[in-house]
Amino acid sequence: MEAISPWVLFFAAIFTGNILLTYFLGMCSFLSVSKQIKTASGLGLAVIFVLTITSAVNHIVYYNILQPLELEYLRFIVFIIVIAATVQFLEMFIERFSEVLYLNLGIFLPLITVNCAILGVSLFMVIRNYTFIQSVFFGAGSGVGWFIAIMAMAGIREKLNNKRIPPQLQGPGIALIITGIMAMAFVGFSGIVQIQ
Amino acid sequence: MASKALDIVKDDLWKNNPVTVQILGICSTLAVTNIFLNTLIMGLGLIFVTSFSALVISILRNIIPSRVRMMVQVLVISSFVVLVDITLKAYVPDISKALGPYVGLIITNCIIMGRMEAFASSNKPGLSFIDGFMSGVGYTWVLLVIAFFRELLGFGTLLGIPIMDPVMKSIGVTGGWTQWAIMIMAPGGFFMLAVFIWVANTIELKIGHEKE
Amino acid sequence: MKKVVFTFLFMVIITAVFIGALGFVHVVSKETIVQNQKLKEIKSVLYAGNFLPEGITESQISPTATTGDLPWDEKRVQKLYRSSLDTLTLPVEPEYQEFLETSFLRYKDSVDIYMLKKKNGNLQGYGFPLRGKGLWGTIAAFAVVSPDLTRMIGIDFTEQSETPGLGARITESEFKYYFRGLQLTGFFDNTDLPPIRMVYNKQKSNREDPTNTFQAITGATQTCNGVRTMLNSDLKFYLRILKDYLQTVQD
Repeated sequence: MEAISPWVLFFAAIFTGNILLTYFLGMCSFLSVSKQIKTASGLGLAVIFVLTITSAVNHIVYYNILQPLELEYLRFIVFIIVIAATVQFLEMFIERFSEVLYLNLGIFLPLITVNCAILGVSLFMVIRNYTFIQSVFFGAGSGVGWFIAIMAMAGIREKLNNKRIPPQLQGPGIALIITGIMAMAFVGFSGIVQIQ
Repeated sequence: MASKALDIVKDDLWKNNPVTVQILGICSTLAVTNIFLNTLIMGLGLIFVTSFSALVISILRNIIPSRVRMMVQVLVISSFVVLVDITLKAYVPDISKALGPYVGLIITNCIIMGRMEAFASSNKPGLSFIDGFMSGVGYTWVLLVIAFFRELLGFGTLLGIPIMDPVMKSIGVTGGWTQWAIMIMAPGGFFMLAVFIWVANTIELKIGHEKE
Repeated sequence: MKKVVFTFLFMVIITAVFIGALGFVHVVSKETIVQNQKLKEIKSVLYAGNFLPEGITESQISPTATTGDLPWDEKRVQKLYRSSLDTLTLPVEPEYQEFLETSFLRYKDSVDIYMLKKKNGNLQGYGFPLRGKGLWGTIAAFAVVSPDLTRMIGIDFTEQSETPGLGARITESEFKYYFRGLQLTGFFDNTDLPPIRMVYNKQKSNREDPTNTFQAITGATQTCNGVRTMLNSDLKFYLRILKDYLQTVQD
């Protein structure tokens, strides 16, 4: 609807409207897979891939099938099935090409399907009335934003000296506190760029 | 069968708690726990969807082709969620007001999908239902504790009833209670959950020490 | 090959079963949902026009109460709505299209404005819908302005998907009370100052001390910005068009 440049959306989705640090979507895998940079980058790339593809496909499906038939109330189901299909393809691909990554990701590979960030991006795209190109750039940008966030967290956690953290807080506990601080920092970015 | 069921119950409530141990369902934990009532309704919704989705998936587990198992799981889960949403909207719109914004968060709640993959797709319907139900309860009780503190410190109320203000005034603090805005916003959720995990792990360690 | 066919058929059948069940529930409850929605809208219009439920005064309303929480008498509400509302359709002159570039009213060549009347037949105010963008989605509101267009009678938010506990508090009466008596003169002077502003520490309500400001909600800055933007843009259009209409009526 708006004539917002797709590139503006792309960069806004990374910094001022980061899907993870501003909207707090996609937390589960973020907290669990950010222990190692290698696994985190694998998951991050997978998320970029899924987000870009599903934004495009869901846009086509919503505006060309659901809306004309007045079936908008089914959008949750249709969107998530598209996401599930995309992740299923991805799972087959990773299983064949990188056993190590497949084993390291474990249950978090199928859990990309229910990564709230992915459904969230499709729902935002509909609410904000983005065009097809805008949706693709927004999806890809959101993916890159999520990727950068999880890489930042993995970097911090790898460098973390566990001896100085009480044993009860090691792992998820300290990750949550770090995320809380990162989130507070990102509040400063909010509202800089109008993306809707 | 009974002992297995009991194991599941103990596991899902504490040892293998979906939120504090498996670290699942975090998005909704952060979003919904700033108001106690919303947490309660969300929890009940989740318990319903998880148990019945687990039941259906378990019944169908032997005929779902493996290549489409994720698609079938999300189809079942999201159908139940949308069913709950439409039913509430039509017959109890006041409660639906509390659940409406979170419909997307229930569909994408990793706990539900996680239990389908890890349990319901390879276990009998009876046990799967119990596992689904107890996972929901394990999630709900942790969230209610967090919500108790977040609403109390953030708004000064519980279930909408002002508590901190009268308490502060009764002990002589004339200004009453100042809201802790950070508790209402997302970072408050992160910190409260971290504290909960800290306490839970401390208790686990203590029990471990006592056993030795 | 057989496996692929079975997989495909299975997906089609199971999808049909579940979507069929949902379609059934949707059709059965559609009427009820639409009626609930209509009733909600009627209450919003009345609240914005300062028609409170029988026997309730503003001071008796809890700060956190939303419009739906007030003790409305459903039958009375329907009657009141029917008896106090009239519509006025005004054409949109081409010169106004520049205002509507980014509005939901774009491409419309006429708009409906509601005239709310008091019991004695005098005009309570002019009401119209507004739409803007919040943090998570669209914010829709219904605003009522005084017959002389100098101040706002009230506002209600009919649609919003903001964060519960933060942005969603725009639906609470404490926030909405700031809009009762809000000065609209800023829309008619020729300065570049924003007609409606947001402040952080408002001491008095606009009923006691009329200004063009409302108080923001802590932690909900983006949502409040969205509300302010929505008011400063769509209201400008409606007020201009109403002013033109009133001038032609006077002549």
